[in-house]
Amino acid sequence: MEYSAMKQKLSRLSFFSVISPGLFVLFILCPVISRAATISITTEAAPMVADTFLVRINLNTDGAEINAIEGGIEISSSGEAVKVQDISLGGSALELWPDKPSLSVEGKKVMVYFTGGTPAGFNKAEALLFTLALTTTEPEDIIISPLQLVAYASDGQGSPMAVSGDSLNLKIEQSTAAPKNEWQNFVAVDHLPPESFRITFGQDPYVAAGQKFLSFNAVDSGSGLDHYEVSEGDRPTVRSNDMYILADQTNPAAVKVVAYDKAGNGREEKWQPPQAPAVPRVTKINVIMAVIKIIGLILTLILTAILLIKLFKWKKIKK
Amino acid sequence: MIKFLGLLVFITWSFTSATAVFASAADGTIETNYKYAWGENLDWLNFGCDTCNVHITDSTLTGYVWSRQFGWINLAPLNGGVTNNCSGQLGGYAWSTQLGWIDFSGVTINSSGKFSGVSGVSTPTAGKINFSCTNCDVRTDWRPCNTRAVCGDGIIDSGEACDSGVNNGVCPKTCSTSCAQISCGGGGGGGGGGTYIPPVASTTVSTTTVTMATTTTTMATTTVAGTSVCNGADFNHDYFVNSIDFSILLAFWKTNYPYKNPCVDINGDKKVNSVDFSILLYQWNTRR
Repeated sequence: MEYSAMKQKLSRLSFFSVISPGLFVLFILCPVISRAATISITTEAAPMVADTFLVRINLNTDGAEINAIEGGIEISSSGEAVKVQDISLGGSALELWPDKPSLSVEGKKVMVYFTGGTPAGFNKAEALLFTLALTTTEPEDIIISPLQLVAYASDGQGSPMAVSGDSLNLKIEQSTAAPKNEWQNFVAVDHLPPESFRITFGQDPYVAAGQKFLSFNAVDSGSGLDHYEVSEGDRPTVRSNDMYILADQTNPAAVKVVAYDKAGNGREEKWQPPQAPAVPRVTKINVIMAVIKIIGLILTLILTAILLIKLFKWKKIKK
Repeated sequence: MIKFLGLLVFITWSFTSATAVFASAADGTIETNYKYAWGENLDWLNFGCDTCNVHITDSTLTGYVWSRQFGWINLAPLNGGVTNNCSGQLGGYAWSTQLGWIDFSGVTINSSGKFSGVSGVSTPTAGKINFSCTNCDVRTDWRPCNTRAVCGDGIIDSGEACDSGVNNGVCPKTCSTSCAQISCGGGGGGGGGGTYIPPVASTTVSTTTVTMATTTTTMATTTVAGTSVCNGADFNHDYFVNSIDFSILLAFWKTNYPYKNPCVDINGDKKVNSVDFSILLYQWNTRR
């Protein structure tokens, strides 16, 4: 084989064997790499020592449709006085939470890990994920930053999308003014109960050891959902999370579930175990038969009356 | 006049008081004293309750079955329904709002109208329905097509005086369209015995063929759906993706492979994580 022909073959080989798969991989990865969402961590006012202030975690999906997000928020401080007083899911773009935002203390850092999503997905420039209520008792510097956040596209594949974002730096200073409590104000203005929710009955060998259970997920647009209270038949009311295992597994009674938000507003929903309907089902054939029977009955009465009259007259004539 | 009126009254009364039961070998109902089957997850199933209105035809079952624990089971729901292949072999699915789809494959109705066999496969939801257990007994007055007298098929069945197939008809033919002997009156010499003409493909036979074809299609679907093949985020195989599937996902959330319910790992990466959660959300509230 000639050198030039060999070189040409080699160059063709290198294109097909190396460059082409490389381009293919790049093409496959492109949507993941090119798409990104941005997290923003904001607070309204410059907080002072002893204030309770709100930090909102928002997501800008940057034009992409996403339905789930997971990761953490890291709160680090120069001192050890910062505390997370509460976490509100009120008004969140996320409805279902495999992992509700929960605290984890790692040295001087407080971590808030979460995984949440919403069936419909969302595409917003400012979608609230959750709100943190923080307070500190000493002057200190606080840095609140996103940590390993990943969003998932609402594409049926769960394609991951990078989430970037800047930290929020706060310098908490001593103040002579009376401490402000934004959290209290936030909760105080909430007079609306959680939204109406659905109670679903379920039984599965992999859930609650195969016991019958009720599942519910309420959403609150104000201060956020706090807890559920469940009353099953005449049993005493109990606090519950979003899954309630029926106390009576054989003959379940009616169940009342009240979802409370952090302001104490409640939304009540009821679940009825299936009952046999007391009234027979109305079918076309039943209606037709009923009409025929009524007409027949009337005819029978009329004819009987005529027959009796005729009989009476005939007997009279005979006499 | 009096006699006529009396007769009229009697006829009207008889017509009114008679309970109309539109049941026959081709459109059967459930016999009053034989109406219970056993569901492994459903308890006793009543096929003949007052308001059940179960009808068995040559191609389908309609009406409702009552489960004490789970309420009504619809035998003819939208996008489903229990099928009958005319020979008494049932298939397809009934629908329970509590437990989802209920497989009816594996059940047969014999020539006496008795249901037998065990339907479907064991599932966490509806599971099997047993028609052959000790106290199980469901019976109907419907009869399989091949055991039923069909006038016009050229076969003299029970209840038929004659059956000349396509040659049934009015005089001068000897067998009527209802398979009764026709007496065409006197006259005419005997004429030699006619030659038996075997029946050509009659309407009834054609219908049966179509029904069989339909049933075959349904059975194919049944085979796929009845197995443990995963159906997206419908982990409990009730054909819906809802909070029950979410609960099942949470039961396996970030646990280690292998999974007792392998369907929870939707994308098959041996992890139950946010990717599976995202796919579940995408399929949320959809019928699978």
